[in-house]
Amino acid sequence: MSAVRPSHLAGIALLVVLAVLPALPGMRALLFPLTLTNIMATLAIAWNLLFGYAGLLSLGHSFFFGAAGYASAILSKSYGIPVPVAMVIGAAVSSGIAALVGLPSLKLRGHYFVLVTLVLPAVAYQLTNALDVLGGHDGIFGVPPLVRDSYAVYLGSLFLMLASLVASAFVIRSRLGVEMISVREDEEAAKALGVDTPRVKLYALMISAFLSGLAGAYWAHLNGVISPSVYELEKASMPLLMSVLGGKGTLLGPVIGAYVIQTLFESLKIEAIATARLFVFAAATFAIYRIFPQGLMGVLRRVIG
Amino acid sequence: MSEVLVTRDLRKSFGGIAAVNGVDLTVREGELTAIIGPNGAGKTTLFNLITGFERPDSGKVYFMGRDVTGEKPYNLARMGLIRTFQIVRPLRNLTVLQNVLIGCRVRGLGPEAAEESLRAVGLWEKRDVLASLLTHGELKKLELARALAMRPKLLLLDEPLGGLTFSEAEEVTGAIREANANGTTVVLVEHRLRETFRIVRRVVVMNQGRIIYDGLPENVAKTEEVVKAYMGGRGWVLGT
Repeated sequence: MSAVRPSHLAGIALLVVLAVLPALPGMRALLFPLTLTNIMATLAIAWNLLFGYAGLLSLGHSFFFGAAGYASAILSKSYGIPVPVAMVIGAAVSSGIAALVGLPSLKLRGHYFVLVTLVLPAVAYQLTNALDVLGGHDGIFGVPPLVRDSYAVYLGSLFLMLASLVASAFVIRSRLGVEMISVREDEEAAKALGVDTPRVKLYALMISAFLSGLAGAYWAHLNGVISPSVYELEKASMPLLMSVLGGKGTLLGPVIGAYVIQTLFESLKIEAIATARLFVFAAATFAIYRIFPQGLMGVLRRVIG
Repeated sequence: MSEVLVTRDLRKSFGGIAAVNGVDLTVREGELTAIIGPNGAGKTTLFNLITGFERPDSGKVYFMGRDVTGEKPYNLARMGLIRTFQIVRPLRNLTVLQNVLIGCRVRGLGPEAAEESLRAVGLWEKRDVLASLLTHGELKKLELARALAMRPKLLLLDEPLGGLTFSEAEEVTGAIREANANGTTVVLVEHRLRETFRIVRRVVVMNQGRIIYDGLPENVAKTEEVVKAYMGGRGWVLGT
């Protein structure tokens, strides 16, 4: 029998604390912000899989987040499809769009893919604002919840984050993951090593979009509403900031980054400087990146030795 | 011996300048061939055209009897047409062993192929070291090990001795000779002629995108056009 590592034990202990903490008396107020944190952590995990491991920079992951949210909301509200099924279909829709977008743009050299991802949320914002079938400016209200009990919703978000983490770990350790890393390191060298780089990049994008979609769908059902504001800059920037702060190209970095940023957002009531908060976080994140390129994970590793 | 590589009237221009200007080259199974020539002769472009990193303007490339003109580099690599680069391209944040294993996995080979190739170039002891921590000479060896581990049918080496010390060059030429002795067909582009001519049996000289000599190493220096290409006709001593 293999020995249980101290880090595994610490991880399990942390999970138990996370699962139990909001259920304790006087801690119910943490349920919603922590649920949001888990959703944003899932989005950051998805973004990091693409950038941290395949080296593909996306500035528009809010598109995949929002598209799945809209699809899941419509399917569950208008067609009565059970919420979990609608969420998976919504995520598959995001993944499918990612394939359609990725097929032409990932073959281009240079920064075209980045530009395409930058444009996607802007287009989606205009479209959802303009189309009545998508609720127009006000969005879609009355999106059915996954479950009624808020603690169960919280546990569901924790499970979603964990499942995304496990899925990421599985991908990274698979042959696809190794090929993604080779593309990140040097695409030309990867080609010479026989790596089908367009296919690898496409799969990475589709998986990342699927996980982002799950997060977005969960978010829509949590709030009971989804509107064009989902495509605004903040949602697109957050996974980037969270991953860089936590440590891009590491499994746990995005989760740590998400918890730090969301905690500062929600608990310390930085809304007082709401208009500037994105700027403040971006500046702080990149300052940390300059000092610790491996993010908080790098700091942790140094401390632990 | 069967033909492993054939190019027919291969041409490629950049901005009106012909980098490769009608190259007909045939490489047979088991050969160890050097392509030499002054800077800008078109040697690396020829490699790029053969391995799919550039599309030819016209002409054909045949690998193992199959027309592979314009085929994607990764498809050619999977078929066993493997190349290295003049400027080393390590996967810097991976270990030496991980660098080599990627190609093995793609070709459906086990880790023993990686070990064998790393031992052949003398890098096995450094298998757990990050590629970013290697010296230039070690990176050149890593590049060769990655290629050898993929068990190539045809191995194209772009300046494998560039920047190496004499002892490193000795190790690398030994590994190349061994791979060739084990049945790998090798074509290498090289400027270090002394070491190169010791191991090859055929030399192709390129100048201004064309092949101007194709024959035995010992006759290269006796060919007037080759001497002109290198030294502007002022004489040339190879010292082989």
